[in-house]
This record gives sequence, structure tokens and C-alpha cells, in this order.
Amino acid sequence: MRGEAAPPRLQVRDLRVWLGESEILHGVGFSVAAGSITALIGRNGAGKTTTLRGIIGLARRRGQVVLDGEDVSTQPTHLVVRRGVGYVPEDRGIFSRLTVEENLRLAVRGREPQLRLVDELFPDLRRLRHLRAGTLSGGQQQMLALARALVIRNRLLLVDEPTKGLAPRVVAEVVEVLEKTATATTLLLVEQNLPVVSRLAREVVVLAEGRVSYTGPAADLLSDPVRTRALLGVAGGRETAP
Amino acid sequence: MNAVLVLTITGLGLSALYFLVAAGLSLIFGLEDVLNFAHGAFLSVGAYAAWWASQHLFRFADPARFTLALVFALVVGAVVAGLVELLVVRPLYGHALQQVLVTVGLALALSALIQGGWGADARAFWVPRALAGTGTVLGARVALSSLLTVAVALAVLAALELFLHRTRYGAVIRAGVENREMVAALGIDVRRAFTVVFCLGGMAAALGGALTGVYYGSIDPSQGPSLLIFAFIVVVIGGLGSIAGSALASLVVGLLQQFVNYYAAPGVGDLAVMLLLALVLLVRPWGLGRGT
Amino acid sequence: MGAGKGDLKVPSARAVQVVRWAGLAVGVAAVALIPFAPIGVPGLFQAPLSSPGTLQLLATLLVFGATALTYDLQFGFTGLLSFGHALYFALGCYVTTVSVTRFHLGLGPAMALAAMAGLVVPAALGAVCLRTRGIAFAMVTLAFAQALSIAVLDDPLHLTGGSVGLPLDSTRLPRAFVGVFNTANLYWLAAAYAGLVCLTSWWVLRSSPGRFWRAVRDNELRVDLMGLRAFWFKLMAFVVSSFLCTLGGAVYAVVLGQATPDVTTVDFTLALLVMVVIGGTGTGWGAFLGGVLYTYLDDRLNQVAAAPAISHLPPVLELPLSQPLFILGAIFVLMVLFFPHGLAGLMPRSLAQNARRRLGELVVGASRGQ
Repeated sequence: MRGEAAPPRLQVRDLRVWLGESEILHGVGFSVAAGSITALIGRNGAGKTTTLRGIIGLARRRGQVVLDGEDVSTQPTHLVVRRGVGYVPEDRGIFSRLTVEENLRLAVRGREPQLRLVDELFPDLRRLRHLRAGTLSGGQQQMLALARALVIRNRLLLVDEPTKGLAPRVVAEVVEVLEKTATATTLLLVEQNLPVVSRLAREVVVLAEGRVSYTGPAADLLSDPVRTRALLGVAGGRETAP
Repeated sequence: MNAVLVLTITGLGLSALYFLVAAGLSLIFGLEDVLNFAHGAFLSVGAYAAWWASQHLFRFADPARFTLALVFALVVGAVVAGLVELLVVRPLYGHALQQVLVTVGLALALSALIQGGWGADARAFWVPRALAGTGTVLGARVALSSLLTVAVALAVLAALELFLHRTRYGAVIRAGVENREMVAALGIDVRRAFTVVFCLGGMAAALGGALTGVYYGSIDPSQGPSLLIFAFIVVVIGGLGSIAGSALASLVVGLLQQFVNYYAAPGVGDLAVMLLLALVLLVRPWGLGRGT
Repeated sequence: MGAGKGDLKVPSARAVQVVRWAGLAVGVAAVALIPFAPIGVPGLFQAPLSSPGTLQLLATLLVFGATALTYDLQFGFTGLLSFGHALYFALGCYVTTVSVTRFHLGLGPAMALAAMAGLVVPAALGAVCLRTRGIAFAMVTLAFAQALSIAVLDDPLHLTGGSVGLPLDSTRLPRAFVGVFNTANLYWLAAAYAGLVCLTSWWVLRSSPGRFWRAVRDNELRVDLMGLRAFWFKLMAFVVSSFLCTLGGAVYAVVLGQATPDVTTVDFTLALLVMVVIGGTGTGWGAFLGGVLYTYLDDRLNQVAAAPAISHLPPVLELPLSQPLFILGAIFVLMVLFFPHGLAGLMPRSLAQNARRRLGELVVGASRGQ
């Protein structure tokens, strides 16, 4: 609960994002406290991925994206990222024809890489480092994608559906890694798997049709199945936690 | 047997020229989705730069004069290509069709400029005496110029592979060929890689231009555009964005063209290459190199 | 026209129609009557309009304007970027010339043969090429066009005259098309061709296939999802456009009196592309205008280049300005960078529409006997 008094790490205000000609987000606003995990949830097509892409400028956007008090909404992606934002996209964004090591090295820029942390969190990757990333299993690729975001000290990680399509055992591993990660950085997590959300996230932001329909403590929402169903179309999932 | 050997080596010389043009085209397309029609003009620029330099560097002895002419071509090629990327291609980033169109316009303008400056007729290309004659390879007399062309292309292939696989910038380029967005999302200014790739491509093409002069003994403004068409074919067959694929495809195209032209009739080899391209595209619409 | 009778509140729609048809009639009449107009247009043309030299140039302008329009049908309206459109122009040009000069056919049968080739070849090649899309389509069309270009230039069967080209045997031509004094007839032939292309394009683009072409261009997948195979619409656009282009080649052979290998090259296709983009992609009339303008500039800039005003300039200026293709290429680059919608995009649409409506109201008002 140490983040309670700290200023928000990320503040998004009136964010509008376009995909081609169509406006996907119609003025989204929320904030993420430093040192916490905030989950961004909502039905398919609500604009969760688009929100993350808008924050780092991979899609045309308008509005404010304030990182530790500094508005970065007019900057190109690579400059936003250089302020300490790590991004793990839904498709993981692994360079499949590069080796595991090359994938990691690309993420290192200027600052001292946190190789020990990566080795500690992902003991397998060291063994696999000379393999082409494309030959890795889905779970290993997800680990590589997370490792790539953690290999330098980032202030904020944007992680898009890290457990999607993974076997239950691997999901548990990913959750564990994310939990450990949160002790060192701040996470904004897009996640459909509600048991994972309730285990990890303190706060949730619910999106519906490009707008924020709920923000508040995760526990409040997920313990109320009626409300959860109304907002998300599914029952809250405390009973099936991993 | 001798004929086969001679044909093989001249064919390899042709392959080498194709590769020098195709390497840059392939990287540029792979990274930026730009089909660069101005690449033929880069070749011409290199050819005329080397020719001009060799005419103005009399005071140097043979090997130095030739080497300096090549270096001058490389520099001019890099500068012209870099300027093209910065001034004309970059403002249209995100508009793939307009980028292709703008390079078409540049190709017209640049080759017209070269014609304006040095005329449409062929000009004899100065080659050092040591390279002008023939040498004996396995009992066959082959032109040294072909051997030089092949050697340079091999060196460029090796250098490019080393650059792509042993340097950070190379890794950025290979990563960008796969997923440009993700490169930016790792905090890397991917546009700088665009300029680098244009410069590299321009250098390879300019070197190709100078070697075209060595290979044919003369240069003229139509060489760039006509080599460009075969280089396009090489790139498409070899797979867009793959240097090794381009090398392999230029081998196939150059040898096929040379042998068929000799054993069937002049021109039939060129037709065979067109047919090969059509076949490859119809069987695998994205070429042989890329596995999608 | 009777439907609008007594509809006093909205005269403008009908008025626009009236003006449009009247304008069209005046335009057609003007184009048709040019050979009878011994009027000089100083600055634009060196000799009076009715002089053979000017008529020849005008005929060329019309042929290339219309050919650019055929390219726009597939590129601008259907989204097919072909680098092989020259193939069909060359096909028309060479089938006509070779039939007349080598096989001693009359001009009528020769052009009929060219027209047949203009249907069969694009149907066959289109069916093959359209299995690919995007850059691959551009490349495979380029390959076929290049193959024809090589065949024409190398001339293994001794039919095409190689790099020199092949003159159209004038003794086999109808007398109306022979000699300087009959240039007016060549002009009318070109004008008829341009009229045919404009009319066909107008009609096809208004009818439902034309609407589907645009739908394919905007979103091919959606057309497929509608249960209509985009392939067939693309093939149709390809064949219609290539057929009209082949006719253009045949007409050009007659206008020029020979077949020249220049029209087989990829440069010719690129020139068509430049014409369309300068004029305005996907507008039809813009492409026509672009074709006319490009051809005119290409012709005139050659003369300007030789003019003393240019040749006395310092070399830094003289060198580029003496190269028409440099100027055209530079104009094209600037257009793409700063006016991506071409000349058509420069003309404010509302302005043209308002002007037409105003004029229409005046005409209708006047005709009511005020």
C-alpha cells in the first residue's frame, strides 16, 4: 500500500485514438499509481490494446499522456519509450529470426542492463540464448518478451494479455513473474483472465466502446458478480483462481 | 568444356552486378516497404562518378587511380541515396504508394540529368591495364573484368552479412524487416535505420555502376534502368528483405540468362528470366526467400 | 427531362443537367471542328490549329490523354498497380503495323485483329497475373511486358523491325489517312478514339461493375465477404482497361505512321503512371488532362530546350532545363510531395459545382422568358 501517497506514475487524460479513419477511443482518462499493478479490462473490441498503443504513440492520438508529471503525448514512440516505458504487445513482438540474445540486446540502450534480474526471473532464457527466437515455444516467447521489457530499468510496463493462449501451468509461471516484477516497477496490464486480474491487480480500469466505464479497486468490482457481469459480460472469477 | 567455363564466369559477372543492385533494393523494401525505382539511377550515378574521377585523377598510378575512382563512386552513391531518403522518401513515410511514385519521378529526373550532363551515347570506361586482359582459369581464357566483378560482389556480400549479423545496427535492421513497430517500441529510432539502409544500398549500387563500366568496358545512361529491371526480378525471386536470398537468386538469374542467350538465341535468355519470374510468383506469390 | 416540369422550387438540378449536356455538346463540337479553324494560339502552338503540324500534335495529345484514362481505370479506380500497361498499347501498335506492312492486310482487318488480340491477351494474362496482388502483381505484369519488349527489340522472326521500329506501309492504307493534307482525318480518328474511351469509361464507372471496382480498391476483402469474388471484378477492370489501351496503340500506329519500340518499354508504362498521378488518380478526367499535359510538355519542352533563351543560360541552369524528362520528373516529384491528389485535387470541387449551378440557373431563368 506504499503507492497510496505517491503521485501517479501515469496519467491519461481525454485520450482519443484513431485507427485509420475511425476513432476507436473517445476520450479515455485514468491514472496508474507508482509501484502498483493496474489492470485494463473490458470486452473484446473495447479499445484496451488501442489504449496501450495510444500511450506509446503507435497509433494516431490526441489528449494527454502524462508520465511522472511530463506530458509525452506529442512525442514519437521511441522517445516515449526512452523515458522508461516497456511494452509487451499482445503478439509478443518477438523478432523470430533473431536469436534470443539479440532480442534482449536490442532492448538495452545506454543504461546498465539488469542481467541478473533477468537471469533470476527467467532461468531458461540463458540456456536458449543462441537459438532463433522463432523456434521457442509460446510460453518461452512470452518470457522472452517480458525479459526484454525488464532488461533495463523501466518506470512503467505496458503488458498486453500476457497469459493469452498459454497452458495453465505456464500461466501460473507468467503470473509469478509479473508479481515479482511489480516489486520493482509499475504495471499497466491488459488481461481477459479475471482470476489473474484478481490475483495481481489492485486497481482496475474497465473500458467499454472506447470509454472508461469503471475505475476503482479490483476487489470491489470482482467480488460483485452482478456488476462484473454488467460491465464485462462474464462472471467474476474468484472461485477459479489459478 | 571451355565454352561452359567461360559462360559460367561471364554469367557470374552478370550475377555479381545484379546482386550489387538487388542487395540494396531488397533491404530497402524489406525494411521500409519502398520499391525503389531510383535505384537504377544510383547505379548510373556511381558509374559516372567513377568514370569522372578516373578522368581527373591522372597523376595517380594505376591501382591507386582505380581504387580512388571506386571510393569516389561509393561516397557519391551514399550521399545521393542518403539525400533521396531524407528529402523525398522520408516525408512520405506511411504512404507506401506515394513513396514508390516519388522514386519513379526521381528515376526519370536523375537519368535525364545524367543524359543532359554526359549525353546518351556510351563512353569508354577506363580500366587499369592489369585488369584489361584475360586470365586463365582451369585452362579457359576468361576476362579479368568478370573475375574482378565477382570478387567485389563476394566481398560486398560478406561485408553486408557481417554488418547485419555482427553489429547492433545490423540487428536493428533485421529486426525492422520483421517488425518495424516493435523496434520503435524498444526505444530505437527506426527512421535512422532507414537512412542507413538507403546509404548502404546506394553504395552497393554505385559500386555496381562502376563495375558495370569495368564489365562492359563502357557506360551509358540506359544501363541503370535495364539492370534495375533484372535486379527487381532477383529481389522478388530471392525474397524481399533477404540478402542471402538475393545472392542466390542473382546467381540463378545471371547464369540462366547467359547460358540460354548463348545456346538458344540472343534475347531468349532474357525471356527465360521473365518466364522464371512469372512462374515463381505464380507458385509462391511472395518469392522464395520469405517464408510467409 | 419531362419529370422536372413545373418543379419551380428546384431548378438547379435540372439546370445543372442542361448546362452539362450543353457544355458537352459545345466541347464535342469544338474538338470536332478544330481542323476547320485556321486560328493561331500563340504561346501554345507554333502554327494555326488547322495546320498539319498542330493537328498531328493534337491527335497525339488525344491518344495519350485517352490512354492515360485507360490506365486510371485499373490503377485509380480498381487499385491495380500494373507496371505492364505498355504491353497492350504496344500490342495494338504492332499487331496493326505488322499485319499491314508484313502481311499486307487492309487497315480495317488489321485493326480488327488488334482489337481481338486486345481482348484475348489481357483476358489470358490478367487471369494469370491477378492470382498475385500488390508488389507481386506489379512485378509479374512488368515481367510479361518486358518479355514483349525484348521480343520486339530483338525481333527473332524479323517482323517488328527491332530497335528501328516498323513503318506502316502507306500503300496499303485508305487514301484518307495518307499524306500531309489528310492530317485532319488522323486527328478525327484520334478524337473518335478519345471519345470512345471517355464514353466507355463514363458508362462503366456509373454502372454497377464500376462501383464494385471502387469497392475492390477500397476494401477487397469486403467484396469477397459479400459473396462476390473480387477476382472477377479485377479481371473485368483489367480487360476493359487493357482492351481500350490496345485500341489506343492501333490508333497511334496510324497517327504516327509507324510502330516504335519506345511504346513497349517500362518507361512508357511509367510515363502513363506519371500522367495519371499528375492529373489526379481515380478521377478519370484528371488522368485525361494529365495525359494531355504530359505529352504536350514533353513535346514543347523539347523545343524549349533548344531555344536560345535556354542554351545561353549558365550550365548549372542550362543542363537541367534542357532535359524535358528532368523537368517532368521534378514536377512529378513535387506533385506527389505537395499535391498528392494531382491537378484534379487542386481545383476546389465546390467552386466548380457552384459555378455550374449558377450558370444553370441563369440559363433556365433566361429560357423561361424573363
